[in-house]
This record gives sequence, C-alpha cells and structure tokens, in this order.
Amino acid sequence: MFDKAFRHRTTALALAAAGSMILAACGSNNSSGSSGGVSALLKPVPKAKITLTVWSFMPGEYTKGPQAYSAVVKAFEAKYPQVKINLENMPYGPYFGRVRDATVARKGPDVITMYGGAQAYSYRHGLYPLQNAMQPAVKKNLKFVADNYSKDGNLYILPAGTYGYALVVNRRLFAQAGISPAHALSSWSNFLGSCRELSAKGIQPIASGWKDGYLFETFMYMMSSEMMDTATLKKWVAGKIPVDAPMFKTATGYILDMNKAGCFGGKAALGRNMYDDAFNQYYAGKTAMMVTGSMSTAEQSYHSVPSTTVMRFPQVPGSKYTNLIDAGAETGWGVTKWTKYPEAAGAFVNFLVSPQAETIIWKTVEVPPNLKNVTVKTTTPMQKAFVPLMENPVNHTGFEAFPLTVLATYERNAAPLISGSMSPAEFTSQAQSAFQQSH
Amino acid sequence: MRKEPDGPARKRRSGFSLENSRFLDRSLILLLPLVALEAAVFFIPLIYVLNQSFYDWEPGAVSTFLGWENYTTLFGESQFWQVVSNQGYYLLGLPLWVLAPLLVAYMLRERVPYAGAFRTIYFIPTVMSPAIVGLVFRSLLQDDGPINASLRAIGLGFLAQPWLTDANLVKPVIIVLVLWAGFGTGVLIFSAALSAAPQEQFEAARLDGAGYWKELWYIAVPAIRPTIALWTLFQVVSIFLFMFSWVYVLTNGGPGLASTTMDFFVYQTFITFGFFGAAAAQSVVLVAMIVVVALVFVAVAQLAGFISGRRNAAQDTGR
Repeated sequence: MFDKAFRHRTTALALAAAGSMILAACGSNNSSGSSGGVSALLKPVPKAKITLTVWSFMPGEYTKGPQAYSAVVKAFEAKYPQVKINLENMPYGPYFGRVRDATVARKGPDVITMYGGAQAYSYRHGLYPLQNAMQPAVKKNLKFVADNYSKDGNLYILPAGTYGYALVVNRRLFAQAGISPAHALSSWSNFLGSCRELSAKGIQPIASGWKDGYLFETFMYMMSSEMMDTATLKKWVAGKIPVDAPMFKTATGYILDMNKAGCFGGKAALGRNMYDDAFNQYYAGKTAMMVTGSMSTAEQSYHSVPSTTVMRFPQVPGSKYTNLIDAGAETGWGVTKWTKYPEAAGAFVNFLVSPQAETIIWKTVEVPPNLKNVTVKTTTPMQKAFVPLMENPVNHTGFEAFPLTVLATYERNAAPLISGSMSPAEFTSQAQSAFQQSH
Repeated sequence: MRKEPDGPARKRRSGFSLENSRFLDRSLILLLPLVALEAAVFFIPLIYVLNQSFYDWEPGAVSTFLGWENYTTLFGESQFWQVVSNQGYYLLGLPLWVLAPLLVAYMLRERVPYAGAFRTIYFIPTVMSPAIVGLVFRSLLQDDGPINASLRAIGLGFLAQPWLTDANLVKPVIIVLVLWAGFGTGVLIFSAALSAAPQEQFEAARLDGAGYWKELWYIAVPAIRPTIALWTLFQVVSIFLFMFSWVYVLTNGGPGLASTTMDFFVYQTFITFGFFGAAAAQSVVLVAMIVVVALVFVAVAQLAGFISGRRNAAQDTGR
C-alpha cells in the first residue's frame, strides 16, 4: 500500500505545495496597493450602514479623554446615522508598532491617529494623501498644515488641536530662592544664571529625565524652531537640511550649557524618564520648572502645585524671534489605504478637525483648537497664561520633520551625551548617519 | 573462508527487510503533518524573509530589487558590529547561567529539609512575565531607586551606581537579571537529571573517601553531561532569541546601543523605522549567527565528551 512510488508522489506534492506558497508570497513584491483615489474621500457618504474602525492613543492621554472622544463620535454619528464609529483606544507605547503591523498586513483600522511630516512619511504606503481631501471649510481654516507635509510633498494627516512647549513655573520655589521668574526667563543669560542660583540654594531648576531621551528632543524642537525662519522651516520640512547643520549643533550646545549651569539636577536625572519620573518631580513640588506642551499637564501641575504659572521659554541667542514658542498641531488623523469605506473615513477625519469636534475637545480636555475661525474663552488661570502663548501667530514647529531614525538616535544617545560619555561631535555624527539612513 | 549466509538471515544482518520498509513508509505518513506544520510555521516564512532581504521591501508599494545591498549596508554599519559585540558579551554570562543552577541542584540532593519548597521558590521568577519583572527592576535599579537608596542609607553609598544608564554596567546587570529569571528552570532540570543518575556511583565514591567537590566533579557532572550540554545549548540560543523582553522593558537598548541585542535591533528596524528589507536582512544574519554558534557549541561539546558523536555512539554499541 505504502510503496516507493506513493512515497515519491507524496513528497513531490508536498514540495509543489510549498513552492506555490512561496511563489504566491513572493509575488506580492510587485503589488501596488489598494484602489480608491484621493477624490473618493470627499464623495458623499453612501447610505448603507457601515462600521468605521478608528485606532488612537489620544483618549488615553487625558483623564477625561474617553469622555471627550466619545462625545465627538456621538456628534459625528448624529450627523451620519448610517456610520457607526468603533474607536479603539490604545496605550501610546505599542501603538505605532501596531499601526506598522497593520500597514504590512494591509488590514486593520480605517482611520488612525498619526503625527505628520516624517512620521507619517514612514507609514506612507498605508495612508491616503489628504492635501486634496479637505472639505472647503477645513481647507480655509485649518492651521499648521504646512508644517505637517511630508518630504514627498504629500499631506498624510489632517492636523488637529494645538500644543505649545512652554515652562510651568513654581513661583513659590522661585520666591524661596529670591529670584523673580520674569527676570529669570527674560533672556538666555538670565535663565542660565537663575539655574545656577537655584542649584546653589538646593533647588533643582528643571524637572528632568534623560533615560528615554524625550527631554533632549523637546529642547531640540524648542531651540531649533526659534532658530528657523519661515524659509528655513520650509527647507527643513522638505528634508533639505541635514541634522549636522550648524543650527542643530548649536542647539545641542545650548542644552549642554544648561546642563553645565545645573539646570537639570545632575546625574540622578540620567536614570529618569521624562514623562513618568520628571513630571512626578514637579508635581511633588521638588523642582522650580518643567517643560510641557499640553494644557492638561499645566492644569495637573497647577492642581498639584498651586503656585504654578506658565511662562515662555527664553529665546536662545541664535533665535530669529522675540517671543516664539515651538507650537503646532497636537496630533493628526489619517485614512488608511485599505479602508473599504473611503467616503466615510474622509468625512470622519474632516469632522475631527471641524469647529464642532475641536470645540468639544477644548471644553472637555482643554486642547485648544487649531482653527482660524474658532477662538476659545479662557477661564482657568492656566488657560489664561498658556493659550496666549500658544496662539502667537509667529509660532511654528519643525518637530514633524525629524526622521524617526534621528529621533531614535537622539533618544538612545541623550543620556550618554549629558553624562559626558559621548562627545557632542560623536552625538551629531550618529544623528547625521541616521538622517542619511532615512534618506 | 567463511561462507556467507543467504536467504532471510542475510537480509536480517544487513538491517533492511520488507518488514522494515513498511514501518518506514507508515512513519513517514504520520510525520507529514508535523513536517507540513514546521514548514508552514518556520521554513516557508524563513525562505520568504530571505527573498525579501534582497529587495527594498515596501508592503503596499513596488519593492525594488537591491541584490546584496541590504547586506553590504548592514555589514558596513558600526551599529551592527556594536550589537554583535553585545551578543558576544552576553555569552560571557553562560558559565554563570549553567554553574549556578547546577551547584544549587546538587546542594538540594543533600537531604536539605523542604528541598521541594526551595525548588518551588527558585521557580517562581520563571513563571513571572519578563515585562513585569523588567518594570519592577527598572524601578528598583534607578539612580534614586530603592537599591541605591538602601545602599546609601547603610553607609555603602559608594556602591550605589547608575545600573541601567552606565554603558559599562548595563550588560552585567542584565546578565544577573537573566540568571535570576531562569535560575529555577535550571535547578529543576538539573535536579531531575541528578535524581536519574545511578545513585550507587555516589555511594561508592563516598565509601572511597571522595569529598563533596570531588563527588560533584568526578561523579555528578559526568553522570549528567548530556543534560548540562542541553541546558547550555538552550542558554546559547536564548542569548540570541529571548533577550528582547528584557532589553525592551529595562533599557530600550540603551544607554546608546550598549545593551541592544540582535532581536531588538531587528524589531527597531522593522517596527519603529519601517525599513523592512533591511530588517529582513538582519533577520537572516541573526538566524545564520544562531546556526553557526550552535554548531560550534555542539562541536566543542562533542570534543569535550559532553555529547556523543556518531563515532562515539558506534564505540558505545561495539559495532
């Protein structure tokens, strides 16, 4: 029954099956993506009942985040009763990895949260370009659009909300040290001087954590934005300025000057992460200042340290402005290329950046809208201090244009740079290699 | 001159008979599902990744054929060689990961009260999630964390170190944590092997006046050589394949690239940066490294007599 010929036939069949599986898999090398042009995103939403799956980490970023986004979803569903939104909130840490998996598998959500510029570019084969998919009112009023273009000339996300990097300041600790915060932050040299004075009096000037590298990135964004005029920003967004350009080396030098002046509290900060450990330092009243980009963090700081106010980070010596802060879109929303419902997905992302949705978000989690036709009423002390800083019309940011490889290099090398075990030249060299890798 | 027997006796001597042939065919059929599963889960994806490593692999777009470029770029990167040297450094933990559980398993033979309870306690870290353990130790090992704070509190502040942010310390710390996590499994495996070893040899050695350490070296270790070899091989493979969760949670590969392993490197290239073709090439190189290191280990273990080669097996059976 099980003779040699049968064995040979069985083996041949198995090999043929394996071979055809390999060929089928290898054949996908030349696939060119799903169908559905950009204009499909602006077509009327069909009447058939559908469910749109949306992935985001935004609801988890705020205490009332789920509430806020739930209200936005309800408002959209009221406008489009045939569309049900299934919003899946995910923690920030693994979020981008999951989106990457979905991009490779070509299946998953219809709409995603995504940062613009270089990050969206990294996922470009899974995202629709949206520069021609904005509804007229959105196109007319949406801010921070130019900053979010990717280097291939496409806009892969619609920017939503506003952030702006500033300092929350513990006035009580400044008073304890006999220093006026306004004087301390009036110029770069006064700022470094105040760091020395605070340190001398046993007060850590700035809440700090270098281990995850985010603090370094934050200061890099802030300082490089101050040193970029509009033309330079345009070149940077287009990917035409390398990270070993003088502007970025100078910014690295300024951060090291801050370290020398004792702004960061010494070696203990090397082992801390920014968002967990450094923030908790400020909330515990142990530091005089902390960098933050969000109103909710400012409110949390005020709640924990009632003597808190918000002030602008001083202009660095190379700044081309007198009062710019690094500010831009808080986040962005993209439509995936494999969505079966491009019209509904297009309608949803346009809705997310509409006055109705952004007003809901402002009222619930205090993220200012990024719309020219919407002004917000400030009611709390933090809003009164922070919103005017964010709404300065000269503000911009180059943050979105930093390639992921460069950010990863900054993140892993921040602690060695600050600790002195890596030279600034080596730090810049590795960042530049990473920049070239991404180009 | 001896006359050759013929007929059925001759076939039996050569080892091939109609009976044996039928048995081989049946076992082949029974093995097919396993072979198919192994092919589907391992070999086919491996061949697919190997193929993709020659492309600028872009899912959802046209992937350009690059030839060997992904590999030449990889071997020209200083980061890659740093990661390879990290893997070599982690191999230095091998003696600790083998000897420590072996010694403790041997000690637990000595009529220790509640030996089972000890084995259970040692095994607890093994069943804990590396992610949770990593988070706990990340907190414990911070510069101003409980371990350094305790050292400072008892006047040993000079011993307080930046355990996870000093490039010279981070790998030894990870080696110790991996020992902590895998120690219990090693103790269990060695305990089982020691209990299966012929006990009369130990008794004979004692009667001959052999001391504790001579008994360990001349009786226990030779008796469980295959188990030691197997555990060591498992640790060698683990260095390449199972360090990811530690690195991801504890250090994220840092400071700099000081603790990055190849699997973490592949993860970052694929997931974080989206350089799929480059990540495919790194994966292929990782598999090649594991195969080479495992083969070298097996050769060394055979030479040292820890595992039997074909020649040794033939000598053992007298054929």
